[in-house]
Amino acid sequence: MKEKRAVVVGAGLGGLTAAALLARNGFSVDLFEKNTTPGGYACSFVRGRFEFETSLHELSGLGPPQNRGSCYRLLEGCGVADKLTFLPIADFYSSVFPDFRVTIPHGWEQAEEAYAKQFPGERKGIKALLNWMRNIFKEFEFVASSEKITDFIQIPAKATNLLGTIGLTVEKALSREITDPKLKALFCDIWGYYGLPPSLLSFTLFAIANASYIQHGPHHIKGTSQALADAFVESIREAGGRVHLNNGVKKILIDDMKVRGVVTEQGDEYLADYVICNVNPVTTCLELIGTENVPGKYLDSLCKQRHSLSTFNIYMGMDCPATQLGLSGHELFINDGYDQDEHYRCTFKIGRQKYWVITNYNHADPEFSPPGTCVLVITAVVDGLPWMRIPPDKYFDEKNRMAREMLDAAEEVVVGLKEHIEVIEVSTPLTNIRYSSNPYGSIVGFDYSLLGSPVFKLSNRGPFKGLYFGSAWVRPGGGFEAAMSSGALAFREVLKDSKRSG
Amino acid sequence: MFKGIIKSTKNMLELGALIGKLALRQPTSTIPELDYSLGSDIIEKIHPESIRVKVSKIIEETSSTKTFRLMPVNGYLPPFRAGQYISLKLEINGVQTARPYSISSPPTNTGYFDITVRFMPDGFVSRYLCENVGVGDEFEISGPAGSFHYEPLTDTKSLVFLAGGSGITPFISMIRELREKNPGIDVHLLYGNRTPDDMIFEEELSETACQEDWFKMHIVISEPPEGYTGYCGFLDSNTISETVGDLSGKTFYVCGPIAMHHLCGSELDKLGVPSRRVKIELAGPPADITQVAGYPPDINPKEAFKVRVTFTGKENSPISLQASPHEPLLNSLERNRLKINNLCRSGECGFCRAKLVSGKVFVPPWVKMRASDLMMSYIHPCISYPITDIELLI
Repeated sequence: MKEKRAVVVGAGLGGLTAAALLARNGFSVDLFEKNTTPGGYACSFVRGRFEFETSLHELSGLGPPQNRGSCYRLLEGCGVADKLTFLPIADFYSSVFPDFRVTIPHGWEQAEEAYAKQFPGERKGIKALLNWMRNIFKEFEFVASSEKITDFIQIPAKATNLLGTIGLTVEKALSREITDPKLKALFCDIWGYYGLPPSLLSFTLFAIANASYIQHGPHHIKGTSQALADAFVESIREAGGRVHLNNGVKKILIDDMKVRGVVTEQGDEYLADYVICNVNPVTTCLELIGTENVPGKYLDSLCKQRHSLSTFNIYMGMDCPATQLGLSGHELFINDGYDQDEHYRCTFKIGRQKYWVITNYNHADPEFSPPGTCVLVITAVVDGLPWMRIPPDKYFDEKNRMAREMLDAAEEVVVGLKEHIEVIEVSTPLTNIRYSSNPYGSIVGFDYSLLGSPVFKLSNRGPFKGLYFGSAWVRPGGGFEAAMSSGALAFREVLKDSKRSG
Repeated sequence: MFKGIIKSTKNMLELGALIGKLALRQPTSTIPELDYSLGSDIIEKIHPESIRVKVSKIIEETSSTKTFRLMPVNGYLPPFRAGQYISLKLEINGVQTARPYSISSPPTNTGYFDITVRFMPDGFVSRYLCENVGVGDEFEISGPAGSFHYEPLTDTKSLVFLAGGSGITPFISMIRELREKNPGIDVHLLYGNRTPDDMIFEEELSETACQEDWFKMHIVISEPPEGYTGYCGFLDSNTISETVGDLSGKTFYVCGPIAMHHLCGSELDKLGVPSRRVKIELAGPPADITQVAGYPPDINPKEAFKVRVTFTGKENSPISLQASPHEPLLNSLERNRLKINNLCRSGECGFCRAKLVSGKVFVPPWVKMRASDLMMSYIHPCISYPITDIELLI
């Protein structure tokens, strides 16, 4: 039988997943990455005596050893789960609002209890809402695992809750069960993870993703998400695949509406029957293929989507333990008020944000930094566009100005913070663009609005025969778990086509 | 049941509205080119990977030190922060290598980058630069990099610079910038040299000390000639406390030979300066690795180890070479005509990262590796010394 050759473009999580699955299923795989380390956003960096987690806040979908979730099973299928140590994070999230501070644990009953304790009058609605989300998640797991036509025809009957969410924003969905605006704000306080406020965010996505956290509990990875990326590389190599670092793809070769292979930055031509792009479809069409070669219809479908928010991060190596600063949990979401639309509008300006999060990485892993120290990261979701319009010679000033304003804001919540920073590094949307090539430095690809919900996300099939996408920008979307699932979906499409062509 | 029907009817209405919206959203016929290309444009302006430069001027600073003025061939240089370095890429007798050099000109001069290089008799690159490079020669450099710069977010406004020999280069950039615009910062420079003749930028520094209220300088000589009346000794705790006085509220910056980094680090610690107030520049490989704590004592100095390097995509033609246990592996690889990506050559940036498939290397204890590097055995050849035969995958 002829060897089936596949090339994967980009070693972000979607690319790594696709490459691992292809290599473990008999494909000859070459994975190309322009950066020196694999992982895309899933990476770490070192400054002084500290190592920083670049992007992972909480990994969803792993579950405890006795009851593993879908994400863990996927990692198993990729041959990486047993190479890693996953550290459970005790709580789902903690929120600070002007007049209350609450910690929401994971687990359905526990979460319900925590919400209801703060808002006793709404217990009934909270219960109904969580139940609804739980059912949606169950149905989603059924849909996601459907492979046979006999499964598919059952979807309309078996997934009524899930299908019912398609036209709903989070705000609309919440309004059906709960009323207090403060409860609503608390309930969707992690909207930043998904890059849109509740009034615009797809409830389908919110329900599935939050349920995955509540049901399986969030995790941190020992050795940061760089260990996750490196474990993928190990697995790909063990299965005979080749991971080329420091060597990106500069051109995808198309012949007669069919993929022929790629040309690398080093100038080598790799022929392949299947090319799986982890690079976002916009850059793929604009730079790797050339818009003149892409069917107009496909370009139109790209234009219908909008980019999601980006991030502004302040990475801090502290010379004291987090407890000394009064920080006890993993992650604290800070809100200036309850109007999340106003917080969202604020993301379009460079300066102090009204909604942000501070993460303490030593909570899940006490060995995360040297004894007596800790690593804290302040993250605010912001839009990338204002940053792309800064004159280059004003960039450092603007970056420092915003960082200073954010540190002042943080000092109000974490007293003594500024006095204990030993090492500091600031990243902006431009940093995201630099390392990921993602338009606008988006964190979850195209946005998760109603029109960008998992249901309407771009397909994993590209506009040419033999071209596939596995990344945050296509189905099912962005975030660690989703990006890896996307790689798996791309692999599934390749497998289908390869069986068809024998 | 009834409630269920209402709910699903509501859902259908929402869905209908959505489909309507979807149909009405007019796609533009082409991708908004401007917005999408803007990203890579600005990245290229702020963080270019590589810049082509031409030597426009060579200044003799001392008998052993030259400044090379690098002008961009395409006319544009990215902004940088005083104290940062660039990596100069060059080819010497067929060997492709690179070295990091602090930019000695201030960020306020936007037309060129100066690098100041001291001639070392056994320095492969410094020797080549000082003896062979002339005006008009062209090079590739990296974009500016590094974290050894004034950090307005956390640093105090009272700074103490501890410079040793050619370690003055990042500081001269900072001092020059402060002469142009000073946001209320005062600087005390302790400049250590072996002999008075080794001092670089002496005239300019003395003049600055005379003219600027915010700048104080002490020159410290370790091997004074007869009759030398200035301050003698090393940059140790005595020198620091005697010259600087009250250390509280001051931020210390250290740049010089690696031995001085370690001395200053521990001396400042002894003086009770918290580690958040001490910034030490990346060091590069030590002059003599065998003197570093933990280096195996039983390594024969004449021994060479076998290194087998496999490049991804060229698995069928691995390369075998010999490497000395006394020099960084990266240097051995480069000497054998292998082209390896690198930037800081100090073990921090990770550009040269390679998989250690088998064998052992020695890494100086001050190098901070990523946790996953240790878990999955990756090394940074720029600061790794082979102590057995080894196999690498790049």
